[in-house]
Parts: sequence; C-alpha cells; structure tokens
Amino acid sequence: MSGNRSTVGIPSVDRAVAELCKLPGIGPRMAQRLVYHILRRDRSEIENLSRALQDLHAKIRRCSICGYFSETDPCHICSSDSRDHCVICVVEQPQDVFAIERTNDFHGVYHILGGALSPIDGIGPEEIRIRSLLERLRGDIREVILATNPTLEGDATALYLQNLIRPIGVRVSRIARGLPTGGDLEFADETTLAAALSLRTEM
Amino acid sequence: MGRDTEGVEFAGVISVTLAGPNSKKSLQFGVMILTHLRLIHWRNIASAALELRPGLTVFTGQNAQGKTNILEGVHYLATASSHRTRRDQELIQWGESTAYIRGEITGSTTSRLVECGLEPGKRLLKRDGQPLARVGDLYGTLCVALFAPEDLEIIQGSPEHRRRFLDVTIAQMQAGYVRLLQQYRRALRQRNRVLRSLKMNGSHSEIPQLEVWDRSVANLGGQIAAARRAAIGKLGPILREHYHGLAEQESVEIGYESRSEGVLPTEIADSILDLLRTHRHSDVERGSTGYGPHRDDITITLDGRSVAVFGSQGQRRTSALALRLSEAQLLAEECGEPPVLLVDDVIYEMDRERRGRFWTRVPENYQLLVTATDHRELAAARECGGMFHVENGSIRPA
Repeated sequence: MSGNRSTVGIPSVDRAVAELCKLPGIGPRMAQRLVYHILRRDRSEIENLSRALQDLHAKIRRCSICGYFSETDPCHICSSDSRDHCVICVVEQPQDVFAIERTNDFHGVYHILGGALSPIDGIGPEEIRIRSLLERLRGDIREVILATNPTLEGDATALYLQNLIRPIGVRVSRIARGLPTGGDLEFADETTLAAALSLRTEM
Repeated sequence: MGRDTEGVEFAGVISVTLAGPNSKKSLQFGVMILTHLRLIHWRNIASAALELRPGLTVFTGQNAQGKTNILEGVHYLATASSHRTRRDQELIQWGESTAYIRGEITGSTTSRLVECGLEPGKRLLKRDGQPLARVGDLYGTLCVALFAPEDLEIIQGSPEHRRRFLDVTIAQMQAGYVRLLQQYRRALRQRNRVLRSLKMNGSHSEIPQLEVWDRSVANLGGQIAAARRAAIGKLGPILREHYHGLAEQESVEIGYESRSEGVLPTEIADSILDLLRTHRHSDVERGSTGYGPHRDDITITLDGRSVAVFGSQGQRRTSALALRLSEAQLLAEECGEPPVLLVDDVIYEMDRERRGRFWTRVPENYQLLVTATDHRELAAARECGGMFHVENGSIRPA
C-alpha cells in the first residue's frame, strides 16, 4: 500500500475530509463518511449547514460580563431578571456553564475563566479572566462558587482565586467532589472514593 | 490426601507456611499464575508462544541468547516499564516497526488477559481487551518481583534507584499510587516553571502563584512520603528475617531518609510546605524544588553502617537479594496473592551455599521464572515444572 490512506485523490473531497479531521473526535474514516453523506444530500440542505456554521462566527460573541457565548451582549444569563446576580459560579470553559445549567439547580450567574493556571503551558493569572472576575467583585457579590475542574490545575486555580477573594470579604466555596449519584461504590475509582471519604459530611 | 492441603494446586487457594519465626502463621493465598506468554518482535525474539506451569520454569541457554528478554517482557506486562531501559524503542526488535506482548493470568477467582503493543512513540495497553487509559490501571493485574543483576544499583547506586524500587513495590499493592506519582511530578514541573520565571523576572508578583503550587507539591508529596514510610515500616522486619536467613550475624535495617517529618499524609504535607517556604530563596536561585519525596532516600545498614559505603561486594549482593525477597513477601501479604518471581542470573553470583539458602526462602507455591546457563543445580534444588531452551531469540521446550 502506498500514499496517504486518508486521501482519495479528489481534491474537494480531500479538502473537506482534511477540514473535518481537525474537529475533536473525528478521524479520517469518520470524516470520509460525513463527506459522502453530505454529497448524497440536497444542495439546499448543505447550504443550510454551511450557513449555520458561518453564523457561529458571525453572530456569536463572548459576553462582556461573564465570557459566555451569546448572540447578545450581555448574554441571556447576565441580563436575566430572574437570576441572582450576587452569586457567581466560576468555571473554566463555556461548556461547563451548559453542564451546570442542565441541573436547573443554580440560579446565580457565571464567570468563565477560559482555562486554568498551568505554568508549563504558559498559562498564568494574566492569561485567564481573573482580572475581570475581581472587577466584578467590587459590586454587590455575596458568594463566589469555584467550579473549576477537579484536576491538578483546576484545584490550583481554585486555591489561587480563594487566596485573592477571601481578603476582599466575599464568601468563597468550592464545589464538592465525591461519588456520582446512582453509582456503585465498588466501581468508583480509588481517587474519587478517597476524596469522598475524606470529604464526608456529618449526618 | 485432601486437595486443600496439597502443595501447589493450579489456580486454587492453598495454604502456605512462611519460613521464619512467624512460621506458625499460616496464610491463605490465592495463587496467581502466568499461564501463557506471547512475545512478538520483542527484543531479539521474533515470535514465541509459551505455555507456563505453576512452580519453577527454567530458561536455559548461553549468554546473550534472549533469556533475560523473556523475563523483561513479563516484567513489562506487570509494570509497563523495563528494568533495563527507559526507551521503549529499544524493546522493539531491530528492523521491525512494532512489538507485541500478551500474558494470560489465572488467579484464584478470575483469569485476566494483559496486552501491550509498542510502536515508536506510541504504546497501547489493554486488559481483557479493553484499552487502558492510564498506566496506573495496569498495575496490580499481574504482580511480579524481579531479581536482576541491576538490583545491585538499589544498594550502591543513586537514590533514584532506591526510590524507584520502593515506588514500583507500592504501586503494585496500592491502587492509585502511580497516578499520585504522576500528579506529583506534574505539580513539581508547574512549580519549577514558576520558580524559573521568578528568577528571570525577579518580580514578586508571582509569589501568590508559587504559593499555590507549593501547596500542590506538599499535599501530593505528603501522600507519597506517607505511603513510602508505611511500606518501609512493613519491609523492615521481613527484610531482617530474609537477610538473616541468607547470611550470617549482621543485623540489617532499612529506613526512610527525608527532611520532612510526620506519619500521616497531612502531617508530612505540613512539614514539606514548611520546607518549601523556608527554602524558597534557594529554590528560586536553582530554578528547581529542593525538598519533597523526589529528594528522599532509603538507607540500608548492616550493624548500623551503610551497606553502600562499608559493605563488601558479597554483603551488597545479599542485601539486594534479601530486599527482593522481602518485596515478594510483602506483595504476597498485601495483595493476598504471591507475585510471579522473575529470577535473572543474579543468584549465580553467589556461592553454592548461599544459593541453596536462597531457594529455601522462596515458598513452594510461588511461580518462578528463572534463567540459567546450567539448569542441573537448579533441578536439584527444586522440582522443575517446565524447561525452555533459548538460542538466538528462538525459544523451544527442552
């Protein structure tokens, strides 16, 4: 066998495959399947898809308050009357907002850092949206919930923020880590189980 | 004769009596046996499929024919690392682009399949057909204790060799330890990067960042040091017994040497945090972290004197051997199943009498994979369950 297995020799197909391959979770095979699927569809359908993709960049911007994706500025959460603007939940990525919103249990507002502290990746406090968070705390804020990922870098970022926020006099909390609901204890990984044990709650 | 009192019963639960003063204590072990080993393009072995029996299996052949490569393969299936190289590339047969090894393990209750595929710059580990995302997940599936000539480095080499010996032992009996080590290493890299940028910029604006990584290093380091101290505490009495059984009068001691203090992970973490804060200036100057478990050491002494410094060659060899025997026993006690013992040449560096004593210290129910240039003496010491002849990378039953 010779040549690159992911090319078929038709320039426009190869180009589409190459572009699709850049997307997360899509390999050459999947990309080819998508391309052939698209080719079988009506032209109008494909135009809809390509317009939808183009609109993403044309219409979506970052909310100037929280950093979430939005077609309006401020975003629908920051401009909502029914949300508690005195409680800010700090997350690493916009998709984390989506995850928390699905719970329907949080009625405050968000702040998206856009990453976590990681000096080896060149990410220091200036590279993520910490300054704008501190500016928001000048207002009437009751509590900051730190919901960065439970990773080495997420924990470090939470600790860093806590050290900055506590002196201001705003209440700081960290989301709990523990067992998934409905899961079996015996199948929990040891790190999670150890955390759940050491962070047990009084009954 | 009742089955449950028979010597080695294949993959069953048997009763073992451990040698030594505590020999009254009879432990119930499930026996873990490596039943099949497949090696493809592994070192100089083009292809081999071995069926292995409980008890002793001997690999004979001249030097440099590939005997050690077989044991190295088994060790790799247990730990995803080689004792001879850090570069996986060297494990792939010359002129080939991939290597593959597979082991079937039958335990007291289940059987498992571990596989490893190597390509330059890439490694795929599988257990029971499922890819393993983390190296740490592999540990504990197959437990091994490897006796190799390189063990002498544990006694006389740099502290890194001793830390590695201890870490691999703990990793095999404590789930999550490998991940802990990886996280610690990453936290150190993060902290060192901040130290270096502090040195370059000389500004104090990065101190709050450094404090965050101080705490990560201290917390993770505290857990590692606590696990190591606990393991050393358990190894101590076992080591004394084995050393005494192999050698003469000297009394051997093993200790954990660290600037941090405490027993509980949180106590040690506080102690490390203290050290990091006190020595921050020198850390910034050097651009690296001078305190923590990555700088700790293990001391081994005979009658209070360091074996590395004052021990004779014979004493060092005996110490290394006793250390491995102790590791095997600790693994057996902690995991409930004796590890597979991989014995590579090392015992031939001792005199015949000591070799004889060595075999009496290895319980009969252990599965043993042994390399030998001459198998006759071995056959006299112990009943042989299988023998293979290794010549120029090809392995055939002898």
